[in-house]
Amino acid sequence: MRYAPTIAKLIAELGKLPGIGNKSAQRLAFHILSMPLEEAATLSDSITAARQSVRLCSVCQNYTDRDPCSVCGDPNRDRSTICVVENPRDVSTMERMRDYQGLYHVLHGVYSPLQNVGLDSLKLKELITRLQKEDSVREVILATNQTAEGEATALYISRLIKPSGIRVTRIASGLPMGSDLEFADDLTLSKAMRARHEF
Amino acid sequence: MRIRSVELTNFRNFRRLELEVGSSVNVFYGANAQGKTNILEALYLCACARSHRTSKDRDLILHNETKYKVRLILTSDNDDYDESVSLSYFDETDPSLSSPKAKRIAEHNDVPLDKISRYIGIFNAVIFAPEDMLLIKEGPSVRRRYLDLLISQVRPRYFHALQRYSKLLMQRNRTLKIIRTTKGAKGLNAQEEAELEIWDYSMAETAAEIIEERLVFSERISGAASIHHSRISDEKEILSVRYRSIGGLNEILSETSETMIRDRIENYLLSRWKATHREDYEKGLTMIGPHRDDLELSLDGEGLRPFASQGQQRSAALALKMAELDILREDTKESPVLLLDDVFSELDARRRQALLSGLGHAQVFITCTDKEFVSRELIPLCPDLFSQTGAFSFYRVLEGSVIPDTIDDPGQI
Repeated sequence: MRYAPTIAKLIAELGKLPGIGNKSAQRLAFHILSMPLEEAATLSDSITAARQSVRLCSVCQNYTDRDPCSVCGDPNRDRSTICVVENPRDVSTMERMRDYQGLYHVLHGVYSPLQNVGLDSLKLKELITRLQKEDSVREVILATNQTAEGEATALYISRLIKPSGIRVTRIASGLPMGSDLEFADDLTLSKAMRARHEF
Repeated sequence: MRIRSVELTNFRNFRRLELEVGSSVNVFYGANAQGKTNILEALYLCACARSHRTSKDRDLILHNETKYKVRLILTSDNDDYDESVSLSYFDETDPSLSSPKAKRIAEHNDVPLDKISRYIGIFNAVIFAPEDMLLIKEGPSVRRRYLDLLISQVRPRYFHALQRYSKLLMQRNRTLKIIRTTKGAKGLNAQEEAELEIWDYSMAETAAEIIEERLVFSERISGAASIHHSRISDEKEILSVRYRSIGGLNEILSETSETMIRDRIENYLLSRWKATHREDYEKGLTMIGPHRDDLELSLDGEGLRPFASQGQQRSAALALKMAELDILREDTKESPVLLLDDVFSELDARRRQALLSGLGHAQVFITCTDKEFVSRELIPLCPDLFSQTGAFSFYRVLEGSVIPDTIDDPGQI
């Protein structure tokens, strides 16, 4: 059976979301259709409101509804450290540990020509201008993912920043806490062995 | 390591096969095109996560089906534990849609593994097949694959390094092509040099790791293969194997001390890659690196391929495969499962004997067209070996089904 055009359109739009295949899109669409009208309106309003009010923080490029964002605008944060991450999601992850007091910089991706992501589509210029403008920065922590592209991007940034004399560090990789050695995969284990330290 | 049982679902011409196998010599016999080789292919697939005959998983699925599965129950040499491995692939791509929907799943003890690199090495097998001759006849990529598969089975890190290198290489080649299409044949500017350098630096460490392992294993292969070769061949030539890295690396390495090898390779590749940006950009390809290297075979110092006779080539291919078996056995401390796909018919008595005497006490799977061939031709060559390994199991393969023989009088064989 063919769907009514409005339903087909809804399914098609939902199907564009990441992780949503055609079947999930249909299920979501029919769920939305079965919702009370007010609830459906609340959903669509919050999508519109979020999309309209959220922009990029002019300092760290994270999503925010005010500029500068709550992290950059917080006078208690340590302004000498910037942690560079791939995505806004990574900022939330870092914040969840409640341990890091410095600032962030969101690249919005990693360098990957195969996915048509060039260096100029990352927020790199913004990072360099920021470092030139704010002389309080002493350390840049590179926290891109431990993938081939994440490592390559980190490498590029470190080569870019090093001449300025600012300290550049890369987050460590190794064994997850609370896990048994026997469940670690060989690669993680061999990385952890190579990065061992005096104790 | 031994296989206890084999399950095939929609694999090649088998709709469903469940088969308990014998612990020593298993012989699959029957006319051509009944599925004998398909069974050995399935076993090999479970070891290396790739077929020895095709690189397309699609080809392995039974006609008009969308999914195959191969599952093996394994037991260690001294029978103290059982485990299972399975490999499956489904392809539900709708030809009318552009996006492919196909996936390969590797499982260990029925738990899916997130990476194939964690699967390689759990179950090891060596296959002897007519395709082995390609090692001598074809170009470098076949020999690189031989080397890579062998090292991957005993060094899990190596497989990961290969995957990482090939991804980085694709990124670098893509970068070269993007630069080419956006600016045509003008030179490279500083920004473009910097972009290529990102990949140079990222690739160098991984490439050095790959080359270092390949050098070590090439030397081990050379040692083992030359011993086997002298037994196989009636001529007195010496077979030697050498890793040949293009771009002058061999010359650098000959004057390097053992401990510095990886650093030297890394620095050398880095400087070469940087120096050849211009050439790479003109070709749109990375011209130097482990993806272009070769395993060089020679007889008494002469390159093997152009001059060798059919017999010389066959001896060299057999010696390489037997070296593979030796190294796997040495490094895993278990005997890999041996798959002999229709190899005896192509070998003379001397080569047959050399092959049989090198097999040791492994579990063996043999295909042949004629059941009597085994008792008539093989057993007389090595009576000791076969009396030690105990009972043979015979299976008749007919149009995608397997019928185990019931042996009334084991003494007959």
